[in-house]
Amino acid sequence: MRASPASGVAGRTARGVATLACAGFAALLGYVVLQAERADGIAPLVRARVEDTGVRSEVTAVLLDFRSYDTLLEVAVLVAAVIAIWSLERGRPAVPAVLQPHDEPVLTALVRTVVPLIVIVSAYLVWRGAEAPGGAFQGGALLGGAIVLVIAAGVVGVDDRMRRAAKFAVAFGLAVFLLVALGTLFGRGALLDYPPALSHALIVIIEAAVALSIAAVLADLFVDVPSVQRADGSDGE
Amino acid sequence: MLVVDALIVLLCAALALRLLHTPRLAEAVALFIAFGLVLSLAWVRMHAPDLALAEAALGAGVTGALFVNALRRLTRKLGAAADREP
Repeated sequence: MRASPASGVAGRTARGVATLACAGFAALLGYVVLQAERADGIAPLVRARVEDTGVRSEVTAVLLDFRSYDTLLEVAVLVAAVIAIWSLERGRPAVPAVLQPHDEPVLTALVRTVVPLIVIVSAYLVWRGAEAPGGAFQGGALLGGAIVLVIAAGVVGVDDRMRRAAKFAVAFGLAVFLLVALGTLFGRGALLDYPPALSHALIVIIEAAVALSIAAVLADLFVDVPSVQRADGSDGE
Repeated sequence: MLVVDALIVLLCAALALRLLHTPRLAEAVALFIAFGLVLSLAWVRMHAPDLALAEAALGAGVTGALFVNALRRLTRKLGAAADREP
């Protein structure tokens, strides 16, 4: 095998130079940050208007109300990424052996104890996101991790029914968000301009749907990326 | 608190240096997961709890799982020799 640039004396020199350059840049960055004067940024602006949004957490107010269009686009990007991965599957890929259900008693017992707790905590995070740190991305990421844990431990296998459920879940969050967006666009004339009385309810509904979607996207990345097939039909297994 | 901050900074730098220079990819993946968790603590110290939650779940959890998957695929295809950097 051809020696890669990372090996040997030349490799070590290059690595040393790169380390020095990064350390120098980090030092420069630290110096600049410590020199800069403290400014409040947009925090006072947000704090002044946060009651209008119906939620108490400033982060959630910014993500789901003041800048909700950005969040809508982020969710669309996640869905597009998953669709891109799905499109790389040529024909029906075999589920890799590692993702078949297998019997490991200790791991299975651990997963069966821990995963229900994780599901509860993730639902709690999504719900509390309106008042405290939490929200759709955090709860969704946690739930996605729980699904990855269940699949990686071999407690359940990945079959067609699960794949169909995953596809539905991935689309669900974006669909709900788009529905609200179109509803406000045609109902109130401005995109994502929630009616003040419904603002809290709409934000919580959108967060719940997006959390489900994010969980499905992350679990799908874990399951589907290893089974992406190459041009010669092999999947690297 | 300064001690905690200094410790977190040192840990981040040390973990990053070690994981970039180690010849064993399995060790690099494990260190990457640890790095994600220490970075999550750094976010807490910077008064960004939402970021800390997301970093712990994504950086340490999901990305770690993806890396382990990739490593498993590499070693299965190339044998144990793939565990070393070429």
